Amino acid sequence: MTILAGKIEPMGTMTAEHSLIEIDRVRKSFGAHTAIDNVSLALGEGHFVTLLGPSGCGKTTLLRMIGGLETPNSGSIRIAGTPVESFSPIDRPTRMVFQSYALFPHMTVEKNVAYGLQRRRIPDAEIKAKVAAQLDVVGLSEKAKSYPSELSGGQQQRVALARALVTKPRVLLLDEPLAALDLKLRQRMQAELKSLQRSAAITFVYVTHDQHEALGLSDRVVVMEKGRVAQRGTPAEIYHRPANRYVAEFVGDISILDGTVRTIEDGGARIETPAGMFVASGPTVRSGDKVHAIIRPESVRVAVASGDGANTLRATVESATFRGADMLVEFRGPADVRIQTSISSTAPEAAAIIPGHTITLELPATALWLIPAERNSNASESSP
Amino acid sequence: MTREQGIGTLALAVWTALVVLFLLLPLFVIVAFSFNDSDFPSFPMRGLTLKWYWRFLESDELLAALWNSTLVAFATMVLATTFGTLAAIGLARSGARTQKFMRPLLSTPMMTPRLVVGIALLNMFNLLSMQLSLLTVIVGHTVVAVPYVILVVSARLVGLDPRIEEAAADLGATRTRVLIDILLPLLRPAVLGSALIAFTLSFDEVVVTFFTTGTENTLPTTIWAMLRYGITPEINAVSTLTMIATVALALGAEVMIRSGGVHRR
Repeated sequence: MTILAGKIEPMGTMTAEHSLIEIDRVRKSFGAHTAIDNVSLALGEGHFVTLLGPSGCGKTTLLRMIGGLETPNSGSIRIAGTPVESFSPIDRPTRMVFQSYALFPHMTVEKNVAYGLQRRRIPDAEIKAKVAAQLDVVGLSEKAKSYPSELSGGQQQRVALARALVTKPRVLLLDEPLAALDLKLRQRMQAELKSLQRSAAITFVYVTHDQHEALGLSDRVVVMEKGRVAQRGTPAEIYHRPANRYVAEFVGDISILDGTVRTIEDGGARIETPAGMFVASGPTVRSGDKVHAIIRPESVRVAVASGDGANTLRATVESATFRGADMLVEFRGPADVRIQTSISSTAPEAAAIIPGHTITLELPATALWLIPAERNSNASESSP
Repeated sequence: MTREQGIGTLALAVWTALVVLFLLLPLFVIVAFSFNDSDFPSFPMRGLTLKWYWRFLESDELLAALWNSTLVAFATMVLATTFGTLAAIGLARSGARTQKFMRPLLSTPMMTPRLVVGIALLNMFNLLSMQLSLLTVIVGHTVVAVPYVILVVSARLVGLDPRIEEAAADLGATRTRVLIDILLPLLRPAVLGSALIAFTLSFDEVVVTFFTTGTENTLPTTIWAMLRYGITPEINAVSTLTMIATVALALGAEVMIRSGGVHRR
């Protein structure tokens, strides 16, 4: 993970610290519906930032406000230090790529890409050269004279990217740009987007509801919930150190142990749960706090030799689902605690996974993460 | 094929032929009589002649009426297409509640009997102390034609991705540029089609014209006046020409509106 994180920041820490886009207490509502509820956020220059959340969480509205396609009801948006709320899109250093591509169907690829340059009163010869160069970058030089309807989905997506990038924006805003593509093509386009972002060295703000896409592409992820920011951080932080249950569940599967903090030690917090005492790590907690201790399926260790080590519990196999590379196994432990694990289908432990059998699970203290218990957590606790 | 099926097919063919005959026979009779070498419309035809067409071309009254009709239809086409297209674009951009209220309101002139529209317009022009002339006819025809334009252009707008306009704005296009560069080219089939519809509506229009015209006559009102002396072969000739012109325009409109799902050259 650390090696990857090192690769992800080609701009160096200097630029990474500099905020290009500053969103300050922005609100936006449509009629009675509040789309963005007092959001403040700083996005770094040169980063690939993802706004992640389910539909209706406000991520697209936020993106459109950065791009000038919506106006905030209150609050301010600054790009490179300049407040831009009253600027029309052409006066902003941002450009948008739409989910539906929104290509001009009556213009050739070439004319689509040239459109933004023509609006900037650039000499024709220069436009021609820039369009040709940009089409070369996205590998569509041969399609210059084609119409959008003659292109595949992936090619149309590239035209949309070229049309935006040719105007040299500082920020590219992408609204679920790959949602309409099939899985294989989506994966290839993800890689292309990532390398395009690196080579163009511009800031990407990318909206998606797909957590795999968000974790795989981004330098920073902003998880949104009901018009607010639930958490922002690196993909690893979001995944392994979620701030709350909403974030934890949105970015992957978790098992939850409810407990109370008893003592704080060097290695972490000692918590008391119905399934026994566990040592867990987490943000600042005090003894007496009600907490959820959560763990990702792949962090659970199966069939530890002795049944009595630290952070272990005995659990019965409820079900096992073969998923190809791995198996998803549901365990039931003491006090009806449910633990989900995934183990490699070729691992030696896989043989021990027989429904009804009871085996030992270890929940390593470094992987058992504490988040504050929600008020009515017991009511909503019944297994997912 | 069984016997029953054979009879069924035959019955359907006969029925279809009767329906077609019922619809087209009167038109055929007009065309036939326009070439009939006789002062009275009667069978059998005495012989073929083009003299009724020549007589039309020699009639100052009919030629003046044709000129008036063309002028009015052209002006109506330009006005109704402009207003209707802009109204359709405005409607498509307004909120759901506004649309729910405005759409039926704007199509009222289309639903209201022409007689009522004509009388209403006459009242209005009197109130405004406007002299009745071809100008008032044009206004009246525009009122009738605008709803059709809105309907046709709106249908096309529904199929347009609003993000296309946003993309143009994002790339730096002003509202006017979006209209010229993006909207009008994409709406072109519907705009041209509805223009032809507006022209045809106006060219055919009798009732509203009757109430809103001053001393000038259009072709339909002139024919109407001539009918007082019975159906002359001359009227048949004029009607035949009008029919050919309007059918051609209507077919043109149909082709326009259906074309252009995909844009190539």
